[in-house]
Amino acid sequence: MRRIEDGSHLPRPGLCQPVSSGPQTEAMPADLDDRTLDYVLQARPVFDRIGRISGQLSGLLILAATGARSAQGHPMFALIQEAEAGLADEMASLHPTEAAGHHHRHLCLAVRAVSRAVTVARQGLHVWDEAMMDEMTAALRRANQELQWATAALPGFAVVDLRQACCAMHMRS
Amino acid sequence: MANYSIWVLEYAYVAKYHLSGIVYGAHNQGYRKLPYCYVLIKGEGITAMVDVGYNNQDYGKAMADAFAVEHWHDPRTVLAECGVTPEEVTDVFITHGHFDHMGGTDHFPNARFYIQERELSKWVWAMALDRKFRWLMVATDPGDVLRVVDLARQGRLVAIEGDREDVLPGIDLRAAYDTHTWGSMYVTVRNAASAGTEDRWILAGDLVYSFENLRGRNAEDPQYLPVGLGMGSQTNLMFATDQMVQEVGGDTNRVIPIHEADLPKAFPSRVTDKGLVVTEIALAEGEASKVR
Repeated sequence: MRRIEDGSHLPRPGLCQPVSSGPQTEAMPADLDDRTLDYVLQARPVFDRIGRISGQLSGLLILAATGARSAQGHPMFALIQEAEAGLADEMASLHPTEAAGHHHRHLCLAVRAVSRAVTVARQGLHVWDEAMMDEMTAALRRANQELQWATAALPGFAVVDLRQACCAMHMRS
Repeated sequence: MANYSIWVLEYAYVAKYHLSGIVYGAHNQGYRKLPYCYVLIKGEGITAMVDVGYNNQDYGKAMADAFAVEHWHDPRTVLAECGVTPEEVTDVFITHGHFDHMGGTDHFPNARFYIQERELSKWVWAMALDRKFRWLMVATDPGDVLRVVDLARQGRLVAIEGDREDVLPGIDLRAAYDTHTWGSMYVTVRNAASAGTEDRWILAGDLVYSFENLRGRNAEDPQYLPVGLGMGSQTNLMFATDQMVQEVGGDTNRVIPIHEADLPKAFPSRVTDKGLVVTEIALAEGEASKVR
């Protein structure tokens, strides 16, 4: 196991720094116009679905990385494919306003990345080799990063619902 | 038997936290400080931690802005109060997979990470459920799941099945399934106070947040009170709590709740120049105190 003695292992700032955003809550953001609010309502299920696909693929990767044979041909992959297949149409149905443009770009990139991960998984479904896992991991990492940037670009979205976290069950009053 | 020092290191806190988050059902009964801490265990050539905090890069701003979590400091700064660097950490015990306990794995490039296999497999199970069950995964960060994948591929992940005695000399891992989470565990450190005796400490993760969960609110008639959040069964949590207390001979002072604001009243402690608390639970023979 390689030892790392300096700070070079630490995560580096991304190219797209989060901009200031308000609290991420279930309530509608109060400072958005009606059309942008409509976009938020329509985009949230898509956002959540991308996160679920990413999480599910990551779960299969965990099984593969820990040597579980069940990763190959896992029944969850059928659910993943079904969910991913609908993403393109759902994205096409969204109509981002100017205020939502930045968010929408990150959402599109997240879809692209997670779709890439699904494609890689499909191609190597019965042979989870290191190259395949490298490519899936990179794509999922990209998808998660795009989702994080999307949350920062427009209120109303959350990768992790911090309100339900064990130590963050409250809101700042 | 072993010879370990144990410190609880505060890395952030909420100054006013609802009591009902700490004690199940205690609604509208006021607030108290909620420290965010991880535990440092040092001795026998080992530098270990229990949990690694949350990923401040992704969630720090939201935690600060929306949830009043303040004063976050990185592990390098926090561990320096005990003369330790993140690179020196050899082993990390992850009590459960919530984002505020395993979000900081990237900070420890040389550590082995231990987690219950059940915590991982139930993640996979929960992620396959219909969207209406999404609450079950809301406190899990998909980024953390990927980081666990990386750890596994690097050979730095140890998936534990059930109890494991002497995972390291004098350190046991105890499963607490279907309590706070599906695959929670706690850590027992068995120090040797002197020949023939044993000096045990329980590092409880999120199974208890405060001494109140261990003792109740009436000293004349003690009882166990569950914490405010659980993905599993409160009944299982009660029995896991009792198991921890029995393991230390009924001495609830030896079950360490890392979110307990009054921990410094029970153990020697100091406030650092960053405004964070270092609490010294045990000091190994030959180790200098970090609080006096």
